Amino acid sequence: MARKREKKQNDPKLQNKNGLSRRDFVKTGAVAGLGAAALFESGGTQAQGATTGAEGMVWDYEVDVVIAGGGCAGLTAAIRARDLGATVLVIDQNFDVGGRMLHSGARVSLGGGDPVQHRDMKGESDKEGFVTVDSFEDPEELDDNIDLLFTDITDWSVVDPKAQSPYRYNDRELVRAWAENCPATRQFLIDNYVRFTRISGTHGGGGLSRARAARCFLMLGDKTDMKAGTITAEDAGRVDLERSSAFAPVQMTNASRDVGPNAVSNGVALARPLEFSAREKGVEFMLHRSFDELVREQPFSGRILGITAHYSPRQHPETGELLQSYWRNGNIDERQQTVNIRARQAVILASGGHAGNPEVRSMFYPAFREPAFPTSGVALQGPQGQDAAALRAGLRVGANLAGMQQNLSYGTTFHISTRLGTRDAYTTMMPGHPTFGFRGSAGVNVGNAGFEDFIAVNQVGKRFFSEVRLPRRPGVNSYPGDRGAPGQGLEHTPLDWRNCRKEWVRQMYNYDHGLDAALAMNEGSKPPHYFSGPLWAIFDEDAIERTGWELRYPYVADNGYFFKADTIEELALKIAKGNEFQRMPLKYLADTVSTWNGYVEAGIDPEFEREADAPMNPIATPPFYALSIMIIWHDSYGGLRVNGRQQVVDMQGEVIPGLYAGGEAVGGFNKHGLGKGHVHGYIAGTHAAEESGS
Amino acid sequence: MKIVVAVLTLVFMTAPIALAQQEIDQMTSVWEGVFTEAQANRGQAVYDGACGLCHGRRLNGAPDDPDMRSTPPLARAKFLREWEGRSLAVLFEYTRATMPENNPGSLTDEEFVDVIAYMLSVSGMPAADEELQPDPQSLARSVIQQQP
Ligand SMILES: Cc1cc2nc3c(=O)[nH]c(=O)nc-3n(C[C@H](O)[C@H](O)[C@H](O)COP(=O)(O)OP(=O)(O)OC[C@H]3O[C@@H](n4cnc5c(N)ncnc54)[C@H](O)[C@@H]3O)c2cc1C
Ligand code: HEC
Repeated sequence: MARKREKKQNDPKLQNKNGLSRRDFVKTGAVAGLGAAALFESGGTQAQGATTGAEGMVWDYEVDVVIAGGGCAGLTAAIRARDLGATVLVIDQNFDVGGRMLHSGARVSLGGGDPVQHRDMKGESDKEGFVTVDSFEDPEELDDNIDLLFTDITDWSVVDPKAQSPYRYNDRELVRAWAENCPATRQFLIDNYVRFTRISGTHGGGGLSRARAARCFLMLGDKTDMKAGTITAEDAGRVDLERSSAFAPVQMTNASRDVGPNAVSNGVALARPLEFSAREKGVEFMLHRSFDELVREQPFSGRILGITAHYSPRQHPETGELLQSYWRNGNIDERQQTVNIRARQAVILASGGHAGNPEVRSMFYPAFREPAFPTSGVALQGPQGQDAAALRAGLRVGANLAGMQQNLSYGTTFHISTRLGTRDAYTTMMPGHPTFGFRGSAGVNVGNAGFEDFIAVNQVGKRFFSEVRLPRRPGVNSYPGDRGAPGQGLEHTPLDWRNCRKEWVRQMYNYDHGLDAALAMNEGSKPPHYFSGPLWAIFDEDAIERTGWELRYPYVADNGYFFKADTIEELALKIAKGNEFQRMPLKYLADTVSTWNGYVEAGIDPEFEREADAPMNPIATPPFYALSIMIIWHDSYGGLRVNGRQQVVDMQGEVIPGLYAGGEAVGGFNKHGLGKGHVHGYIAGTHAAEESGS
Repeated sequence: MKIVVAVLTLVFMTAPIALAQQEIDQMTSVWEGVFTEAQANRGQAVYDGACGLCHGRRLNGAPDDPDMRSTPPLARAKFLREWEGRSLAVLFEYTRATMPENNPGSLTDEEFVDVIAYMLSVSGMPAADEELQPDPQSLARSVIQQQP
């Protein structure tokens, strides 16, 4: 297990020869890993020109494998490395384990002839007999193999409805290793208490030829028991439509049609079983702890020896109490400001992507430096959840990057959410989970259809696009239904030039640039950043009559993302005063509304031709309302470059010894979410445990 | 997972035409009480498991799983506008042939009419004493209208 070292009795091999304190190391520049210095209490002192290597480092903990991030890739890697005999410490900046995986829909797209594909081909049940519905897919559509999967995921001929061809950029070595490990990873997940529904299609970049995605489920029962596969209705959030639980931040959905009576599904049925298994097997966790720096023998050469990490307490938004993880066995309660953790064999970076870091985002799309727009799941994850920690630390020890353009070719990377009136607009969450207070409101999910019932305005109160077209997202290339190629499933011919001939692309192209208009500069955009500012849905009482939207707690709250007033002028004032990112008055709002009402009367919108998309309704009956509209940067694709063993590679093409990475922390693979992260974790855990170390 | 396009074309093209004049005279609006409350409640349970994941808990086309894209709403103003003037038989045949999109044909005809009853009740239509029957002939006599 992770061995805590007493400060004064360091490993002789690592002992500082001069007998200096840690602060002295910093001052004399004896710590490698460059920015490591910035962490120490000395307030930003930099170890300038630190070239003396890390032999003087004082380690607080020592373990075989250290994993930064206990989500999808991290938990999988932890269990795998532990199964192979390594001692494993997972550190996570959050108060609970699971990362975005806990928030997710748990559609896990693997394939290559994986055990669930085989099960469904034969129409069999699972070993516990929970799955009682028939298979959805015909046996031929499940008849998969590794070569076909590999071909699918590197198929240059598949073009998406944005006229991009994302599979062509996928790194071949990485994807080959991924495809080869898909069947074993599916079995691994099953062996660690994860249960899968019937397969239905593929998910996010999972290929066009075969059906490969299944969701995870638990069965409603008298107690919550991962071994038995049961969960109480209360823990699942199935008792009260307006209540989440501490166990399940997102209420679980009814999966009876995909499994059998009483089955419920979402990321909880994936993350909690894995967490349970990891703790049962002796993986240790240090929570409230943010990883900052990698410690390398020399700044740009030698092995990775460990990490430094700072205390990042997450406190209850109302009471200020330190938040506690749902399960605590295996937790190390460490509150020291900074700790140095020695990894005898390997460090695995699994801390997710950069979607929550506006500065890093701006290297892909400068307008996204606008901090008004968050990533998905900010309440659960906190502001440090997706802050590019792995990318930043990797670059400081010489790592290369990969797939930096791939953010631009995935349908959910960024888009306008249909959930209004909350900053955390991608995800749903109800009161009952301790982080609900960070968002304050669940939001009102109006669907695409709801966008015809309001006008959308920018920070100065002007319309900027046809509202109806704003939330439309182009599909990603998955089977079936997303029209990535003329043929789907068995009818898809991989690598056929006809898939991307321009006649076909013209026919299926389906992208409106509403998002770009939403991020565009307006009169309120000021140098040097030219922020575009928040977006608002403006409507009147009649809209509520038409739609049935419930504008009450917990859907909306007095949290700066929902306003109500008797006049438009007053509404504009309230928004300007009440929202943290609204930097100016919405000076045109009243004019915009009266102009709009004129368009409605005339039946014509000369600015955006709204009449072509849906009926137009006046905004005239008080009270008037404003709900925030969010642009969400959901997931990350560019990141650290890794090889087929998930080892991080430097700018010379050399492996950085002892350093692995997976999930959204890495680039080079335009595949969404879980299917990617679990396999990465599985591969990284395997090889990390085999390292002879130092 | 095969979508029966031919069936659909047939349904959309021929269903209204197939009605004889006296049948059109006998048409009733969906606002005149064409399902029972118990039926709509049964439909809600079916909907929850078979449709909600994609069409959303509020039938507004907002999927419960945000990773999934928006779908058309199955109730209220926009849905009614889309289906205005068509009979419940057309809706029934369309739904039966194509939905749930990931597993068409997995529901019984009874379950489909129950879900339709639920969709109508969420749209504000009143319940009455007679259940909606899974019989195309009688469904063809109920016409969808935006207003009572
Ligand atoms: C609402 C929602 C629905 C989704 N649905 C699906 C789906 O159905 N199918 C699918 O394939 N994908 C889905 N995804 C995406 C999927 O959840 C993620 O892509 C996946 O979890 C990424 O795995 P990861 O291991 O890279 O990161 P995560 O699972 O997010 O784990 C990263 C962990 O690292 C921790 N961390 C971050 N920074 C630090 C630091 N500096 N130090 C220590 N720890 C740190 C975080 O707290 C977190 O626990 C969904 C995501 C969301 C939010
Ligand atoms: C896997 C996702 C999914 C599921 C599950 C699903 N649908 Fe759909 N549904 C869709 C999509 C996508 C469309 C749009 C199809 C199109 O435009 O071609 C649609 C369209 C519809 C329409 C046409 C709406 C319109 O106005 O155009 C109806 C009616 C419908 N679905 C009913 C149902 C019913 C009833 C169920 C449950 C028995 C169901 N759907 C389950 C995805 C789904």
